[in-house]
Amino acid sequence: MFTADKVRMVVETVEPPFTALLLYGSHARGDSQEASDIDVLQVTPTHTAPYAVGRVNITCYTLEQLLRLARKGGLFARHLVEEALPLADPHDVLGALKSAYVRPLDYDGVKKQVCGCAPLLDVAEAQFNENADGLSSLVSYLIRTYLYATAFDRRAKSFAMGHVLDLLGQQRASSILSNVRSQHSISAFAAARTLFEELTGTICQRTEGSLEAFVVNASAHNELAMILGLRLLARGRPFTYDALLDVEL
Amino acid sequence: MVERLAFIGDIHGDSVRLSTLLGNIDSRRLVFLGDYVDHGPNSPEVVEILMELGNSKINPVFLFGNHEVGLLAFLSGKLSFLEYAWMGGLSTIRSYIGKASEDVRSELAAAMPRSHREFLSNCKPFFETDQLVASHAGINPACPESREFGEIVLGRYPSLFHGNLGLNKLVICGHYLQTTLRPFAENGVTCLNTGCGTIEGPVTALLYPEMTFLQA
Repeated sequence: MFTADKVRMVVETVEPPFTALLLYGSHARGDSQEASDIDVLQVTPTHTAPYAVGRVNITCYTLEQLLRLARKGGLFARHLVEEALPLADPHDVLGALKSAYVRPLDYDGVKKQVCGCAPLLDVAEAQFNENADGLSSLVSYLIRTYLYATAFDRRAKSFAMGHVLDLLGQQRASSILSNVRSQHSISAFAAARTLFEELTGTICQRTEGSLEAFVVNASAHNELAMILGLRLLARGRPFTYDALLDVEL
Repeated sequence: MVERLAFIGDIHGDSVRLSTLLGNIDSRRLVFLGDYVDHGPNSPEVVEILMELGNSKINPVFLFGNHEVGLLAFLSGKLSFLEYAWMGGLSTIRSYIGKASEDVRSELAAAMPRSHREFLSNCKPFFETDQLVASHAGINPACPESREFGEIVLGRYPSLFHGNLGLNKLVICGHYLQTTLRPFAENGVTCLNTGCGTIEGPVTALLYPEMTFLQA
């Protein structure tokens, strides 16, 4: 139960300005555990980087970006439309998203783009150590996106990861995802990469001699791989490539 | 007698729209406002078309845009791959080198004809007459007489569109994306960046002194 006290705490936690605050994830569904983070979408007037305050993870999008994602039928838009709860929404942003959302026939395109990201995970230990946070976050994102896309093609009922893994018979992914997100170690990353290869039937091998060259080639046909490659290159530095802001992370 | 001119806004690699527009402009001097490369599909072809025009008798003027500066800076190592990619340079790199293999900067430098690099390097920062001043980014409203390269080519002045420039001349620029896909023309400022090559908008020409627009 997301109590009035928790709502007040979140509203006081976020850094203004905002036009709407939406709760999503396990707390919105009502299946949160004691250790669950609180996922909040902050609708901002201008592009703003995501941030976290304690256990509250705040993702920021402008209304225009959200409407674009909704019209494209993206997974994040679906997540919001089907599960989000308004914490503060005086202009009915959630209603506008629901009106704009177009559900895709299937998620084959998403899965294809995720598979095309496999070469981004082709790193040796020394390279991993240079960007452990970024690579751990990346492999986790790719696995989760692939699982969601596959599950919703099989009529999944919610974004609860436990439900998705049960539906797909992939319960083993739970600990692998948990480890890679908490440990940021090469062993946890390697286990997650192996899981990614098994799930997608791809091999994490880059034929280009540099990440830059991969990004150039990917930009012709795989926007997701291009954007995630640029993020890896940015390594957490301030980076505002416009297209980045449309990626669902 | 006032010279008949056509000012042409941002092109961003869309050679098809550029060719169509040029076919619709009568014989007069052309002033290009910069941003010939990046974002769109065929920057090399755009440069070829402009170079061909430069060899004709109409004595066209080619102004710098920040994207020409970005491409040249990437080639010379003053701009990182990431920064140039941020500007929309990936399509330019790809259209010159085809498939990248390792050192993208070196591969681009090797694939790009020397004539293209010279053409881009020889662009002018601004074009000015007694009646008007044309540059990619317009002028700095806080200092309207300044013709500093960093201001009139690379600057960004949204307040330009609010009027009261204190300049007794028409200001003609590109750079500032008009999401309506229509040119802006108020308060003594005309902006011709109507999203060509970036948001599938048309390329726009201003016919001067008639002050009429053509789009393709």
